[in-house]
Amino acid sequence: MTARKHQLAMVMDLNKCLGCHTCTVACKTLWSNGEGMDYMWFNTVNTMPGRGTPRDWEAMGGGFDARGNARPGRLPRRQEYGEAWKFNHDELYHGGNGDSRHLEIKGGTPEWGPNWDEDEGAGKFPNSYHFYLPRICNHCTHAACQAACPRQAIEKRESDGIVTVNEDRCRGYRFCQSACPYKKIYFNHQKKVAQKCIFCFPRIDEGVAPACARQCPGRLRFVGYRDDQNAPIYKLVDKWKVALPLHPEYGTEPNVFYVPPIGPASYGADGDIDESRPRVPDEYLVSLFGPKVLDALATVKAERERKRITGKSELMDLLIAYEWKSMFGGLDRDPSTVSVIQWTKKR
Amino acid sequence: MKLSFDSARRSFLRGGVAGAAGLMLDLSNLRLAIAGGGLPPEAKLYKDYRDVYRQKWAWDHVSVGTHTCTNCASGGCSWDLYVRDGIVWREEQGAPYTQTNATVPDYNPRGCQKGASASALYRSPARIRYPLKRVGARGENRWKRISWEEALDEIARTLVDTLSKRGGAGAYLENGNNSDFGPSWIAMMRFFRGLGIPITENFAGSGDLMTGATLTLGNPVPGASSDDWFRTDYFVNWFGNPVSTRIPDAHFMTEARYRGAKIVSITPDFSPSAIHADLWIGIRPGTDAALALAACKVIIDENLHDAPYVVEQTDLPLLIRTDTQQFLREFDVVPGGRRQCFAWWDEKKQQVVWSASSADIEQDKRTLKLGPEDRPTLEPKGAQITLASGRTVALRTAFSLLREKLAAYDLDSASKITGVNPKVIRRFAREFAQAKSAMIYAGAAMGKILHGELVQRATILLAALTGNNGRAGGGWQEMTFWELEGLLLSGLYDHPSDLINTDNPAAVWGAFGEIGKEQAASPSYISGSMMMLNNGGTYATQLDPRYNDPTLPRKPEEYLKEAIAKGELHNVPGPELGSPDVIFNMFGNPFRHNRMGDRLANTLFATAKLVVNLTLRMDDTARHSDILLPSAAPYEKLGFKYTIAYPPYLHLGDKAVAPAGEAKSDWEILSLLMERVSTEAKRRNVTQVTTYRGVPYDLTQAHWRFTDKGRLGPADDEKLVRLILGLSTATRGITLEKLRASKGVMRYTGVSAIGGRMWCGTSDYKIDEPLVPYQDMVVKKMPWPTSTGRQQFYIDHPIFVEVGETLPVHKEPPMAGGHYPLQLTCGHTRWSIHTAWRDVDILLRLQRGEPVIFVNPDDAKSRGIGDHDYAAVHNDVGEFVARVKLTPGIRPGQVHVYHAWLANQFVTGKSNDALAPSPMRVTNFAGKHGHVKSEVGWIDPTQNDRDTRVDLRKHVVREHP
Amino acid sequence: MKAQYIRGASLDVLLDPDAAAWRSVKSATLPLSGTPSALQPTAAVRTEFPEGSIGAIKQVSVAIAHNGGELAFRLEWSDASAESGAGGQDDVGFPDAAAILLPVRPGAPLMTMGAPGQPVNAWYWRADENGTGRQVTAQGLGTTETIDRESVKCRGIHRQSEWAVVIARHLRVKGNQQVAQIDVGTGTAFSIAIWEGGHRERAGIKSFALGALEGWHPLTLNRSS
Repeated sequence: MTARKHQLAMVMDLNKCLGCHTCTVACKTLWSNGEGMDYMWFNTVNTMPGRGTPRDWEAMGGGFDARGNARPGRLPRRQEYGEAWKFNHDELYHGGNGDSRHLEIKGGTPEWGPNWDEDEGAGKFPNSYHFYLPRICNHCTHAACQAACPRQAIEKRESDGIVTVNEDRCRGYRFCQSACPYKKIYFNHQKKVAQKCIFCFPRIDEGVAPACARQCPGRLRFVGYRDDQNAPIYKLVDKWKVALPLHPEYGTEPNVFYVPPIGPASYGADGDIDESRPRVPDEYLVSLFGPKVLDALATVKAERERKRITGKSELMDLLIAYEWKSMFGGLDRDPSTVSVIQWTKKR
Repeated sequence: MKLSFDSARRSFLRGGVAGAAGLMLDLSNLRLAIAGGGLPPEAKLYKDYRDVYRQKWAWDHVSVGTHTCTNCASGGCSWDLYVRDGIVWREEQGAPYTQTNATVPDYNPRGCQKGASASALYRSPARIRYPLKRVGARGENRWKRISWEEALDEIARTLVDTLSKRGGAGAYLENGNNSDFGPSWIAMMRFFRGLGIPITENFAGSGDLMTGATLTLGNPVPGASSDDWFRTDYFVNWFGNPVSTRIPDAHFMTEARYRGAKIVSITPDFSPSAIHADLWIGIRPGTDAALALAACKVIIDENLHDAPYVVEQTDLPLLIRTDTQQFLREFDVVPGGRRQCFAWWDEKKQQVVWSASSADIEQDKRTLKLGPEDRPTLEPKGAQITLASGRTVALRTAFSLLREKLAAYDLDSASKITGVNPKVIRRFAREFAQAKSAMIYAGAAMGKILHGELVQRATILLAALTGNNGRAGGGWQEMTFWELEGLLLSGLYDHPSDLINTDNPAAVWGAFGEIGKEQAASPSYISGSMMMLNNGGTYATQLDPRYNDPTLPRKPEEYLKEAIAKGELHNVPGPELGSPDVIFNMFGNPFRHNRMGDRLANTLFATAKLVVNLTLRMDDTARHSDILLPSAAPYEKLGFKYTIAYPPYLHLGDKAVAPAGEAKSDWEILSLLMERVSTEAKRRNVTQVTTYRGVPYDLTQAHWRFTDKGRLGPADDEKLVRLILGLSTATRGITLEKLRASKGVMRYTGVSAIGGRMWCGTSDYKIDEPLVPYQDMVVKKMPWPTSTGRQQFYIDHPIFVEVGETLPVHKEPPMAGGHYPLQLTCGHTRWSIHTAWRDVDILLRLQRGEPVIFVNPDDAKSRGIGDHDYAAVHNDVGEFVARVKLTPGIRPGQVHVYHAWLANQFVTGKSNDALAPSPMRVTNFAGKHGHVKSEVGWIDPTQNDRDTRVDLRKHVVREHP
Repeated sequence: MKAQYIRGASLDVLLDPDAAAWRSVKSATLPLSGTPSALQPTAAVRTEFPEGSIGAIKQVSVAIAHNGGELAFRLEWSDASAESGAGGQDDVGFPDAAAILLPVRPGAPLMTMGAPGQPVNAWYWRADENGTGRQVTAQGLGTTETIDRESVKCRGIHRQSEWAVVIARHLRVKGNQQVAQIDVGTGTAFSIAIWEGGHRERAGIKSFALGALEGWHPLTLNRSS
């Protein structure tokens, strides 16, 4: 469980996330379109505060306690993810029913879905607050799923620390699902194996950034190796310390980091701006990203002001990403230039 | 091993924990042995699971350079299509936008989730793959597959019947905004123009037309390229939601924030865009003009306005007669004087000076530039003039009248109107005025309230007072277009092929002259919104005074009747087009995009003998059609994305795969149909027929004309693309080959001489810099395209005088739909592009799968409604039923629905559009008054819906048996 | 135990738990024990299943028969509910399952499901794959591998709070050194593992029948009835 020298990582800047789910769709159409994968979304985006996906995942346990002991976790239920709803398109378009039918979800009213509480958030008007939180597998340094699997079916690549489920070894025991505190492992009920985000390793192997990152129109996902001191990941995480893991207290040492969101000003009881109280409460952000989030916010704000006044700030320039390709730590190859002939032949 | 086995058994049998712990020693060795050596040596894997994923990412070839979404207002996005077994299996952004300027972020990667699931739309169950003919009642959804021959023959026969009896007036085309700027559009124009069949224009019909911008800037589509957002110091999102609706461009806003810009968002609800603002102003819906005017008052009171700019670039120094509230015009003073000639008061000369910017000044002398001796003043004392009649009248400047009007918008009054704290208003005004550059991103919803025109005028005033219009990173922006002369010539000129190899500009101007003459005699376009009003069954509702401005001196209908009597309205289809025999539909979904569009079923569509729909998919309108002709999807044909200028790049859509089923490109469909129409006409010897305006033409020659003397065949989409490229200033040096070699994307190389100046106002376009509009005006001092030649805030058309809107004012939102406690607001959703993608499974699964309304928890609670309950939303006009989504970011008293759910997605088959009475704005009936003139896409009565008043009640839906 | 020879009994007959043929076969009730938590390979598993929580099924009634070519085990145990497990839509449960365990060569350790070079063969039935058994081999904890899904046949019936399951296989199967090859007339050994899906039992979380022969139950196959 020692940290790899070369660990791939991602930084997601929540001040740039549009909640558009291009990442979700990019991932879905690429990876989770096979048998038994309908309901899976390796990449999700949820409105926070919110119950997320699977619903109330933060209360499902897993990970490690402060002493490194496995923390009990539970399996998410299918209804807590939500189903891949099917619709009565054909009945509607060709059924001869006129207006007596409408487009319906087959099989009754659902209770939840991967983005059910979109744009809801918390608080009370006019001081409600929310932001978007995209999530993939955290490809943890101390991966709870890997530690839990009794069959060693979860592998962490030596070369870059990508965590994958070896679906040939997996027997569907699902201990990984309970153990993952982020609940980013799905169970394929047809194939009876666990499946999850693979950090697009086939793309990585060809020098191409993951689909969720490369296809993100909000330009909020940085990709690269943790130890590449010249690349954005190292600078954002280790140098400027503005990118933090989600729920560090889960003890798995995630390799996905977030630049915390800075919301608009809040209003006081008199309707004037209340500078003393951030709209997104500090305590909420601390509950997500740990106490270091306050320093991170202060750094971002100070550098923004420096950029405003002087026009110069390494941190702001990084976050702006004047040149899009610079976000990918060298993994910036155009995928359309990759030759995949050897694979198609196999097919 | 044997030992440990025995000990294990012993401890096991005892069941003792201590024993089991002892056992661990041995077992851990075993585990280590496994961990160290991986799998036991004899074990082998059948296959490597990793190959499964590698093969998922495999493809046969990549089709490069193909946009996907004709109907998106964000402009083009480059997509690479990954094709496997002849099917586009997934799409990924091409991201070919090379950085042209190191001081602004580049345009990569563009795109959104709809583009990323375009194939899901084009392969969805709703896709029309074969010609279909209705066999049940209209709207019943019973179809049979027919051949292309059967379909085209039936249409041609019916069309020739109609044209021979009634001319073009016996038919019309419902045309939506979902066209390309390529062969599809050209096909439409050449076909319907050639047959003299009118085409509805729906810029106003969709509510997108910003008449306030036309009035003020002489430009209904003002805008910059989106990378200019990055350069602003103060970004005000007003009425908009770019985070959801400008997904490819929104990063310029979030990145501007990191550059140090302050981001302000002004919307009633705490919207997806508000979360990325520094200041969100949650305003009472529809009171935005009051906020803008209060800010203007602060700015003027505190002398924060840019006086030299105001004097030079706006009409505020121009003089108004106090007796008539009309501008002082030269003809008032000089017998035979010019009408569109306006004056300021010269402080030095103490007399009236005619402004050289005025529209009627000789073209070569027109300028905004003041002479060295000129001293226009904003607030003269004792200005007066003796008219030609001999009477002396006192004069006041528009500025001084404005100052007087603004008195009503002191901070306290404005706060009462808007619900915004006075200190917040003042802070906003000061920050806006003091920012080095301040930009107002005007959301399209600003056109979709009854008084949107006033909001536009008021917010443009704010930008003008502070000198921001025409400033890099500044100004009032909505969206603008790159004009392509080649497109216009190919669609509207009979012989575009003659022009392609000529370097003779006179030939081109001659062609435009011919187009102008023909269009004057029988305009191709009619107003879609007026078609709906007059013939779509909405007349009484849209003109109902109860739903309109209660301060109007007369009933709305009287203004309309008067305008018609005076001939002030143009392109207005009257009752003569109210009973068409044949209706065509292309590029749109009028049952959805019209407010109360459901009424078409009982009006225009009820009497038509044949409704023909060229369509990609089964939408509300297709369901009510008779023959569905399968239209190729964007990546199944060649075309250009329409040229919205957020990205200053031309986007070619290439034919990546064969059309689904038997679908054909629009050009091919209409080519084949035109051929049959002419053949049928020859067979029956029907020669002379007339256009809908009575201009005669020879129907047997229509196909010859359509094909440019046989030079444009049904498979010649590529020729048309070359015509567009070859004949457009903005694409000089760009060829189809070069486009294909650069992922279908190239930066525009210039701006059009005809359109570019009007839309962008920037004749000196710099290819490596963000597009900033109005450089011609603020730098070259060329007049604005208004009557005064200035940004014009004072409108003296008699209707404006009568209704008290000569200057921008705030008017209370109307009680549209009746006196109900809640206001139904609407906005474009992130999840669809109009109705397209609304019913696509992959995206529905990322929502709640069915229409929802967003309601504040308190409003829902007081009505006994919980989250995901059904609610009936009702008013005088109608009712629809949707799920409730409780959202604390929604303002109490507001109900928000994201638009463009298809009617058949609602349980009762009625959408929110069914109960929007879309009251008519009487100033939209003003015409024949300088630049205040009636014309589609300029000033045309706009539909609206964001003022709709409603109430909610819990609704229980009975499950189908 | 003895596997009783039933002349002429077809595989179909043997696979039917209700077949008359089984009535003549003597059955034995074997006590089952849960695996120790400490034996579980990962902390997460041990945390979820502390000592004493494993082994919901306490005993199984076993009858064994062969027809000279195929060997069949008929198991019967009490289980109030049939868990079909993973096939369900809202599923966090696991299927009821059972396996016949056989040492491939003498000396293969049962407790650890074999060891490198000493495989244990399992004939595995699970409720959600009723009919198709899995031929499984293991050489230590966490190394089970499915060899095929054809050679092991099974059929289970759940009624009146009881499972009756028959698991059968040809005595010899071709070309595999990792599975047990059985000859009539010679002795071998077996054990039985049962997973109670309703108690989330899967993997090493199971009960099994411990015999006297290094954990195994001896098994002999008679030549004749």
